[in-house]
Amino acid sequence: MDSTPDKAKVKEILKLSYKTMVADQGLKKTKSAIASDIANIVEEVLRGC
Amino acid sequence: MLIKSLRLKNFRQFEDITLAFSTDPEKNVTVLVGGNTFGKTTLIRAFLWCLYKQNDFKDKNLLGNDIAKCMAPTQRKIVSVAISLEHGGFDFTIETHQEYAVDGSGKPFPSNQPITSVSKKDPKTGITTPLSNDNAAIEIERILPLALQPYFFFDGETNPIEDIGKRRNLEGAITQIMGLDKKEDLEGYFDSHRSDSVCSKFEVRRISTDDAESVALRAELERCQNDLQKVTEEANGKRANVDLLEDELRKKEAKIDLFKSVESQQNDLKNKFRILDQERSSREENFAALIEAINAGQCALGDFFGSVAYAKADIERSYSSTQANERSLSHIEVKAIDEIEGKGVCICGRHFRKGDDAWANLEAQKDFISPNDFGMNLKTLCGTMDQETISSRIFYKNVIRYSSTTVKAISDIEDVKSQIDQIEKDIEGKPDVGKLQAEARQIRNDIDTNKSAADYDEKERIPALNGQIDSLGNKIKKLSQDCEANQKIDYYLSYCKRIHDMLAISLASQRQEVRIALQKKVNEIFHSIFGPARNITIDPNFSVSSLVSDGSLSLDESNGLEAMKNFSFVGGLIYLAKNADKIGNGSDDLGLGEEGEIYPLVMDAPFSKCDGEPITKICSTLPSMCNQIIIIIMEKDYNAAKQALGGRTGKIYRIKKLSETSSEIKEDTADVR
Repeated sequence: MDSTPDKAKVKEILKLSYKTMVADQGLKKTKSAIASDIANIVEEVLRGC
Repeated sequence: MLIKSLRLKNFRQFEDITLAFSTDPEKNVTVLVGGNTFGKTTLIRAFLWCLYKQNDFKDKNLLGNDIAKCMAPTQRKIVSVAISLEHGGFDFTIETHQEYAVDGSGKPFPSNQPITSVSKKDPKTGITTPLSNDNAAIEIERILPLALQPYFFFDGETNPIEDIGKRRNLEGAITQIMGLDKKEDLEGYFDSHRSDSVCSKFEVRRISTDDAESVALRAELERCQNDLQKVTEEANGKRANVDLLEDELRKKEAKIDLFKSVESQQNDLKNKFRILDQERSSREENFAALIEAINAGQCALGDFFGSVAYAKADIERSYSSTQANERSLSHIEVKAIDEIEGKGVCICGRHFRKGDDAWANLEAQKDFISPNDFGMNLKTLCGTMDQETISSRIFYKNVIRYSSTTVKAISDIEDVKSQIDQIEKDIEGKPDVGKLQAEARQIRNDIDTNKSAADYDEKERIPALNGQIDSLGNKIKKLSQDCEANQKIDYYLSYCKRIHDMLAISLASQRQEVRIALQKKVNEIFHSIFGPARNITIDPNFSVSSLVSDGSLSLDESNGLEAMKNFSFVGGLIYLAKNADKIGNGSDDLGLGEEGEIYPLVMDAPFSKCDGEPITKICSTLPSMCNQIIIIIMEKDYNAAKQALGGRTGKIYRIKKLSETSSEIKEDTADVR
């Protein structure tokens, strides 16, 4: 498993996380719930690496 | 956001009015002209009540008094404000309404909470979607966040445009306009020190050995993360307090400034009360001295009358011992006759000798002369009277002196009291400036206390906790099992750390780029209004100062210059909002941020503190700075602005005051060129 983060994956995680966070904040989700959603995104993007 | 119209029903002095605002980019100015107390500020407040249910009226009553007067206690009336606007390619209608009733004395009161409804129309499809109550609030917050409204809606009384440069929370507003706040939030989610971060979500999945040391380390880590969260919240709370306190201080200072003239009257009043106390003491002292003098005088008079009575008794006794009759010589002594006899010449010139008839006649007169002690008694009486007269004069002098000073003190007291009455009448209903200054001093102390405490949290406590968390995390990692699941977690965490660092660098550089872009735009506008003699600087905390050409800070600024500076800054903010997607994303574009948004500039009495030339200069530049301007203005200021606004004015309305409780607004088509 390459431990050097890939720039394209970083940007993908960022964009998805940002969108999720903004949507979650609009829905007034708790910080913990938003963090869980973003963690899922990170895992999703990096799965199989 | 472009405002298309505003409708008020039963709202304060406006029974039913609809105003359509100009949205034409070439004629983007709408002017509403009206005098003081015509309802200019009411219009700005109607916007804020409709959008945020914010009620800034002192009496809090929204129902028009004329309507309330005609209502029976069983009747209900609806107060409503509706705004139609364009935002993000959609048409919105936002309406807030509230039901009102009147009590037995005819006083109006709201019989329910205000309700806001929002409907969203897609102009492409023509479909209108009503939004639920919760979503309505979220949508309004998206259209114009509450925290940003003071930068686009200027109420001449509570939020004048000239105060914008003094605001300390500009940083927060700019951060929000540029969407940096969301980026900061995202950075927080990738912060490994926080218990509510993405990293913590991964850490809890780490498979650790269950030995006592690992368990203790995990418990300690959790405690540190909770402490960090608590301290961070405390620091944020203190910073928020500073913002609130600074806002309160700004308002208090504005009030002190407004009532500056009252301050000298209030000081004068305090001084008069001091004089009154002194005069009262003086009156008491003089009166006491008067009483003392009278008491002393009574003794002296007692002595005097005693002596006189005694001498009188002696004289009477002597007198009664003489055989006084019509032949008595009451004004001559025996010695005088003896001297005449010795000279041998009478006072009539006749010569005589001892033993002759004349001599015998003189000798016979001695029988009619009072005894010697009668004269002595008279002498004694005269001496006593002389002596007692001196005492009486002193007594008299003292009585006169103390009574006149007492009378003068009484008259001075009356004078001071009438002066106090006059000053009290003059300053009646005005705030105590001394008290306001004391309160302002207290607020400044509270600001310093909160700032120091927040600094300590941010510079000492938080870094210390971060260090502890890092160290505990490393220890736990060393003790954890070397398995595939943990390797994956480390892999995810390496991305999280990378993302966090990137965001931190990006945020720092974006803030700097935003500051430079804002400063550049503000100066561009300022130079077009004022000329190049001065520059405006915006520091890293987004505080605004103007500099003279030699680079020194300008402290003595006229109201006109101050107005030009503030309008330039507002123009810069509007430019930032419009270009939020383009500014600060140059070097490390992460693809995050806000779309550019246009905002209207809605102002009540923006030129109340400046005169002709600055108004002309501002108005000739203002329309090109903004997409939409709604300006509510006095007739005299409009006369100064009219020419400069030129062909950019799309609509003009005239506010007419019908009575103290009723106004109407009519469009003036004749004045639009």
